Amino acid sequence: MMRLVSHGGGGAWPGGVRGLPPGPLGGSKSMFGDGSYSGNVMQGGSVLQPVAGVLTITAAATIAPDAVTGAAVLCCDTLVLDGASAALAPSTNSKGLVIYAQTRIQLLNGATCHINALGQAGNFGNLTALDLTPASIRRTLKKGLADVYAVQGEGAAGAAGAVTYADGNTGSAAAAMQTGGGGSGGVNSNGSSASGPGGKGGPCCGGAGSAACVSNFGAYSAPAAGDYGGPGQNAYADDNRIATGGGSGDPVGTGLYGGLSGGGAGGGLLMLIAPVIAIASGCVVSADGAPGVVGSNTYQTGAGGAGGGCVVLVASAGGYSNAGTVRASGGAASTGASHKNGGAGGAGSVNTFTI
Amino acid sequence: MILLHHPEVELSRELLATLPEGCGCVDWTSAVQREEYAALAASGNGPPPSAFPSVIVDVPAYAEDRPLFGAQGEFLGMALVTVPAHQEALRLPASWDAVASFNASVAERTRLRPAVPAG
Repeated sequence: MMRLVSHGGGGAWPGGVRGLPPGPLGGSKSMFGDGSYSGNVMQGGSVLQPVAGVLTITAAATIAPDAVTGAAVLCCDTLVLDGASAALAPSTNSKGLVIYAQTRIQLLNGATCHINALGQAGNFGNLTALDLTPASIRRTLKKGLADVYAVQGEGAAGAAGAVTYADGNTGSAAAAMQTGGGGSGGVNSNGSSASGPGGKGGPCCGGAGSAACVSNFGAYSAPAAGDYGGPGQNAYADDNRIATGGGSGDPVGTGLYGGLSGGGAGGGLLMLIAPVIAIASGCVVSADGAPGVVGSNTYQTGAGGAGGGCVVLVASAGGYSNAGTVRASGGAASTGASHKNGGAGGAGSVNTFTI
Repeated sequence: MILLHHPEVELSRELLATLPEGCGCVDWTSAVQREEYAALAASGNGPPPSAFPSVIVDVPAYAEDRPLFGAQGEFLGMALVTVPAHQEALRLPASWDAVASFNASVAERTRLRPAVPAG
């Protein structure tokens, strides 16, 4: 049987994604879509196509964020990620990675699906999957799921700044349907200087980590990392011998004197919505924050890591199984600084729902 | 020691299955247990978790060198200060052997560099 696939054009068949006809496996709306393929997964430089309704990812694959909603959104009948090289993620920082599958989402043999360090900073308020879904895909959805589960507009609090000569602190861990807070940078001072506090998380991005602070000339208070995911702020150092890391966030802060710029953004918002979600041992679904960074020369002071994101899994009753890992870790603390390290980002949240 | 456990994480399930005797466990998906731990963390007696699993360990006080600088940024030398006893969260320890190795390491550090006597 010939498989009709969407490739982003057309308009003659209302009801299909992007105006193309519903696939042979779709045609009727459901809370998980109608099974037609949104035609936007890039693997190996070309648009991946399903075979007999099954979209199989075996290598690094990306989805570009939608121009209107800002989120990377995929709909299909069945999504299978197979093998240790299989890794699906947004192509750039985005407001979320949302996947609807009418039949199932399955990860096998070490595959990964993630939005690690790819969150988008912003105060967008509470967000549901529907808020992030382009109109072309909304038309395939039956009311009932995509507008129910809302991630909180305000994430967990960032860490307090460190004072005088101390490692940075760890950001607060997220409550349900929240992202984690950012860690604070280390401080290296012979006075009462302080690194800035880490930032509060947003709905689409774990909190930003604050930059490292080096001040040998009086009291200096480094700026706070931005809330809702960023910015991570630039490092401060009045001693050019000491490599000083910039905060992780969206955007990252700049390092100084050999210190690295921030390692990336906080973990993003990842939503999988399918009647069956099956994650095999060794496979990972994640929304991890970027780690804190230090630098390359002898004297170093490290910045804070970004907060973990938010993972939301919605499946039918009895349809969810996880022998692998689903996580939203905060970015690791910077390590190995000869002076002080930054703190880690706070853990994000993993939220599972069955209907 | 306390294992901060999340059942959605494969490594966390493996550590829970081999939990050492005397080690506590907080299941992060239990609202009650999570709030109890959060209260501890807020009082400074438990670091907030960054990732799951994490193992909360007691770190004994030890002495640390701290650089001293003058008003113009000139290096004056090193001072010996005490880092008080505290708790740390070990992120994603690969095994309980890794946790034991860390505990042995900080105990050895304290033996070699004991806290500076007060006064």
